[in-house]
Amino acid sequence: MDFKTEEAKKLFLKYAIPCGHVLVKRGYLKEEKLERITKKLIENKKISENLEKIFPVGMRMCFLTAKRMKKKKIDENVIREYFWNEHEKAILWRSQIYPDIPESCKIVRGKVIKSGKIAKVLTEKGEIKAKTDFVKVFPGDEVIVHYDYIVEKNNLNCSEKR
Amino acid sequence: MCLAVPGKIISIKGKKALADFSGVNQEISVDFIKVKKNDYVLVYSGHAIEKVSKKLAMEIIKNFKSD
Repeated sequence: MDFKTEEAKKLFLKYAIPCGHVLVKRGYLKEEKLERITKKLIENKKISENLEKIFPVGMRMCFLTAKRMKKKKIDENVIREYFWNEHEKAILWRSQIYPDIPESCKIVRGKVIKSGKIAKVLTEKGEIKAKTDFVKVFPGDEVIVHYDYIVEKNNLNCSEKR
Repeated sequence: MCLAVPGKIISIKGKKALADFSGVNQEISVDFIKVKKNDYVLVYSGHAIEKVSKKLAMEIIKNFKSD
C-alpha cells in the first residue's frame, strides 16, 4: 500500500523520524540514512526512499489502520489515527511487559509559548521543549509533539474529517 | 520497530495465542499472520504482526535491556 499523496508521506515521516533516532541507537537504521531523509523533509524535497524498509512496523500499522478505515491508500487521516490512537495503545500494551518507555514517546498536544529553533510548549503535563525543524511555529499555535519534535500544528479540521 | 515486542508462541487457540515475553505470558491476537507453536513473532499492541527469527528476537530484547 502506498501513500495517497507526497504530503501524506511527509506527514508520516514527521511523526516517524523522532522514533528513527531510537532505531539508529538500536542499530536497525543507519544514522546517515536518517539524516539524509530528515534533510529532504526539512528542505521539502521529494522523498524517494521506500519507507517500508526504513520504518517497517510504522508502515505496517498504517497499512492495517488504512484497511480498517476502508481506505485504499495511506492518507493524512490514517496517519493521525495511527499515531494519535493506535500508537498510544501500543505504548500502554508494551508498558505491561517492558516498563521502560520514555514519556516522550507519547504524542502530546500543547500550545507554543515561545518560538525559535527549540520552542517552549505548554502541555497538560507542564512546559516542554520541542524542536521546530519540521514546522514553523509562533506563540499561541496549537501543536502536536512527538519525541521532542513538533510534528504539526493541531488543526482541528483535520481530526474532524476522520 | 521500537514499540513492537518479540515473543515466543506457547500455544494457539483459533485467532488467539499465548506468547512468552521474557518470562511474562500474555494472550495475543494472531489474526494478521499464521503462526505455530515455538515461532517467534513481533507483537504490536497485542497483535502479532510479523514472524522473526529467534536470533533477531533475542537481539531486539537485548537492545531493550541496554537502552
